[in-house]
Amino acid sequence: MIVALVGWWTTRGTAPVAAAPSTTATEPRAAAPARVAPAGAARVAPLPPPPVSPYPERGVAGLSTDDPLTAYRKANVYPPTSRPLSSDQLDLLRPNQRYEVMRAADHGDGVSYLFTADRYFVIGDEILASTLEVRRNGEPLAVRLTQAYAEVVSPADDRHRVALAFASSGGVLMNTFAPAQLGLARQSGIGLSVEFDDGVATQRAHFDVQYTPLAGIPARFTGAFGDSVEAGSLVVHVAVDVTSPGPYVIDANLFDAADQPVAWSRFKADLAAGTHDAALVFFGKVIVDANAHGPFHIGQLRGARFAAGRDPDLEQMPPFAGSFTTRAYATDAFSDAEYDSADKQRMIELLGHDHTHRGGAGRGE
Amino acid sequence: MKILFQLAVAASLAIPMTADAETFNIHVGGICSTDFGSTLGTWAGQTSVNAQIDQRDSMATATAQMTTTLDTYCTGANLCYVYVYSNGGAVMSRTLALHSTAWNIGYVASAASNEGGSEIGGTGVLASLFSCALSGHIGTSDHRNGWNHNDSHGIVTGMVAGNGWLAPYVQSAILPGHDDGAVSEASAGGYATTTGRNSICESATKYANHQAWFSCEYGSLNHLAMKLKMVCDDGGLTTGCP
Repeated sequence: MIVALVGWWTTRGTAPVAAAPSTTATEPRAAAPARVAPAGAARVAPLPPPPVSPYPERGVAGLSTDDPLTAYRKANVYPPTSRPLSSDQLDLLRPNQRYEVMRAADHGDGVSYLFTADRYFVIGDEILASTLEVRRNGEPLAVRLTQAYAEVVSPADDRHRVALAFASSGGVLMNTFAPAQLGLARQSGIGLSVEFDDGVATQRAHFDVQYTPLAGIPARFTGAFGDSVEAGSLVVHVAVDVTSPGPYVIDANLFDAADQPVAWSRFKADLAAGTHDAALVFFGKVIVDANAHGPFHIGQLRGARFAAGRDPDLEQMPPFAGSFTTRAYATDAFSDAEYDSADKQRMIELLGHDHTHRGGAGRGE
Repeated sequence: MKILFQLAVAASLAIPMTADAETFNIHVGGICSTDFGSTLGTWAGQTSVNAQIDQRDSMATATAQMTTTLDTYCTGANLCYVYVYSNGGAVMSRTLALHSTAWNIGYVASAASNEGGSEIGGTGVLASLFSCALSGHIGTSDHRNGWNHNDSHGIVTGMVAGNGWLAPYVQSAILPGHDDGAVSEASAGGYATTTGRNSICESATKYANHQAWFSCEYGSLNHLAMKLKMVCDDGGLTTGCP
């Protein structure tokens, strides 16, 4: 057994780590042949792999053919929770938007409808404004509502239901609804449903909102901020007054002195009760690669407490309506070093050992 | 003897960190399912897992069960690859966005993903296809507001999508652009908006680290036929592939 161990050590322990496979070549670069080193001799550390360029933040056009290790490295030039922000990332720049569009009725016949509202998240005493617009061949069509109601859909054991009244305005049926009237005590999913007769058939439509009653607000932004440069990155310190301790997710966007989007950041950690600092880290290399400089300001600051296992499991904080402006940092105040961490190095090692899964570099069927 | 002893000690210290580690291929099913089903991909020397994820009632339940699955198989020295289908893509994306656990996941491989929600989620049409409570609450507004899709733990999500017909067919008039009868390619391709797409290779903003693999579109495959497509494309199956 000792002989076997010795044999294994002389071939495995002294061979340099194989270089990461090329993104264009189909064969990985071969590792150097093993050599026998005298006992007690220091092993030569392998050269680090060459740097990679990050994936474009808008995404890769066409097919990606990178092997898993290369793909992982490209995806982690920046940290997972602090990445570039572009002007067309509307999901981040305009949170709380709705995505319903005019759509064909189930029965067709040229009838289309749009049932939507002005927001997805409703908090406290806020009013939800919903509209129902029906057309036939593009022209407004008057319909008869046969049902209209709002109902708690989650938690499933709480089935408050209230009727909704719609009024016609310019050919569009409109309703305003205050979820606070339901007297809910915790985060809830509320479904709004309508059924209408368009003269040909009956059509149903539905959408959901997430509602946080005042009693269910887990924490609030106090409006106190600070900023600093730490380890080459911009850190915006956001004061949070926590009522319900637990894990929180907090997001914000960063804009530069020219009001251009630069980066987004997210805080994911536990917060205890009381007032605490949630540090939003805007990674240095993101700022440097954008050639951005301060003073920076944040926008779309929002967050939620993650109540794992509850339904709904995200208890919303009231978003911060204002902004915060940092000091006038120059671009060179930040580091352009690539993101690194023990987790990233572990993943690189694991992916470097597995050649079974080829991901996008595979041939498919 | 002394030299052999020294070499043996050196050998024991040179054991790589992946000794006793395993690679798991996690399979996650779609809307209204409780698992992926009986057909799983297999890769030599690795273990395939039929994840028990209940997607009948709530995304919160499914997220919690996905978390437990990842905690079980994807930590320590283990490595995971996660194969998701349909709403399983949404469950996996949501789980990654809400947790900060450093799971060892090589990549997520997605087929016909409902990560971006389905436009037919607000109508009775989807209920005719998938009969469970959750099927009425997986619309585009629900999923696109429900979590930050760009926070993927730095894990790449490879995607494949279909454009085949699926009875009763009326869905395609509702879903924007190309679709597989249940989800549009705007969702299946990881796009950050619901604008209709003619393929998942179109140049437009996608959620971070979401990318098209193997084919820009499987034109003849509908939502049901797409289920095993990624598993097949990634080498897990050679028979019974669409």
